[in-house]
Formats: sequence, structure tokens, C-alpha cells
Amino acid sequence: MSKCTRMVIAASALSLVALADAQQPIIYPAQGQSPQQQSMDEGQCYQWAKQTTGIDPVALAATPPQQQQASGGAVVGGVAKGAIAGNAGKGAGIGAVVGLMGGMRQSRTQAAEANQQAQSSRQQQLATYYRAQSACLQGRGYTVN
Amino acid sequence: MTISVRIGIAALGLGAACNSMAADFDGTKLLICAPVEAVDCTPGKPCEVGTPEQIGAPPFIRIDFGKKVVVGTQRNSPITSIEKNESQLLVQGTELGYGWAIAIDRQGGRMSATLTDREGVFVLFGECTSP
Repeated sequence: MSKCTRMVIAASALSLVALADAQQPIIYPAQGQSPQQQSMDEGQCYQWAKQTTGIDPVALAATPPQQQQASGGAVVGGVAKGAIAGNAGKGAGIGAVVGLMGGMRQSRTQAAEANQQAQSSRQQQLATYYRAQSACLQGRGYTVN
Repeated sequence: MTISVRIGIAALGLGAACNSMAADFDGTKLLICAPVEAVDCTPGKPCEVGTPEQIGAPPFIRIDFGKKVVVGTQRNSPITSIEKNESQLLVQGTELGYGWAIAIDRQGGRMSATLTDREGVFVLFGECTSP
């Protein structure tokens, strides 16, 4: 596969990422670059930004953050021996009325926080990548917003 | 047998059944209550609705009025207050840092329960029966 073909494929992959990502900057060929030239430049800047930041937006888009789930069975098994109804480590057992509700609420909250952190980390990585890509494209005479 | 006699007998039977059912919920018999729907409400977020299993509610709540205790598989929760009126039984207590209240309809055994602590409120809906 020629270098040119690879660049075009990379640019196409990036445009797919852009469809799923509102952070993707808008690129204007300020010096009248042709669409083919723009594809080439975008592909080369993708490679450069990926190498510079160590972040591959295509790979990032292909692997969305894993959702943490506080599913019943798993949590019940883990919680029953220790942290029940907010009485972690006291060995209070499963409440006759309370059951495992306190412990499972805690698990659900922690899972939601973990999901939020993963999402935030992904956004930060993409922002870093796009900064590098923008710098590269601006250096080649494109206006990036 | 005339139709009116039949209707009369049926009405008597129905009345007896209703009385018998209502007697189950007079606050003297052991009740087993099964939560069917569970809700978890905390401030600033929409309440989460799920099955009792998803929310972590016990599958059965056994209320022993005689011993004034809710019997669990690992621990019991003492009943601190029982209030009866014509329409419901209201049972209250505390457990593991929660204040709980269970209201049971005296006619059909429908149950509504809340468990409250500083973080929020759990709500359970279900049915009770006398074993």
C-alpha cells in the first residue's frame, strides 16, 4: 500500500471519528488547497499528532469507555461479607428490612463516578490530540477552529 | 334454588372471605411481605426505579407482631412502633442507621415501605400475606 493511500485511509478514518465527536475541529483550506491535498495533509497531520501525543483518536473511538455496572449478583456477593448498608466492616449482616440497599447504593454511586471519570479522561485525550492536529494543520496553511 | 338465594349465598361467601383476609392483617398474625418494586432517591438526581434485587432490598420481609420484630436471614430488626387503624397497619423501626416505616393495607395486604438516612430514601412497594 502506497504512503498516499495510507494517508487517505487515515483521513477517512478520522472523518468517521469526527462524525461521532463534536470536539473535532473544523478545517478550512485558507490557501486554496485542493480536497486531495487537504486529505493528504490531514492524513499526515493525523500520523504526526498521533506520534507526538501518543493518542490515536481512531482507536479511542473504537473502544468507548467500559461502563462500570453495579449489577445485583456481583455486588451482593462482594458486599454481603463486609460493607452492608453503610456499616462497612462492622459485620452487621444483611438487614432484615434494609437488606443490602445501602451497600448497593454505594456501589452504584462509585460505578457512576468511575464512568464519569473515564468519559472525562477520554475527552481530555481527544482535546490533547486535536490541539496537536490543529498545530500541524495551521503550519500547513489551514485555518482551524 | 332461586337466583336471589344464590346471590345471597355468594355475597355471604364473599363477605366471609373478605373478613378472613382482613383478619390476616389485623396486626396479630405473622406477615410475609414481598417487595415488588424498589426506588432509590438521593438529592440532586432522578430517583432510580428497579426490581428489589437491583436496588438491594430483601426478597422477603417477615413481620412478627407477637415478638415485635422483623425477622431477617442474618439479623432481626426490632419494631419500635405499631399503629393500627381501620385501613392500615403502620410499623416502624430503625436498622443499620436507617429509619424505616412499613404501611400495610388491612384489606388486601398491599405494602408501602420507606427507609431513610442522611443520604436519601428507599421506597419499596409490594404485597403481604399471612403464611
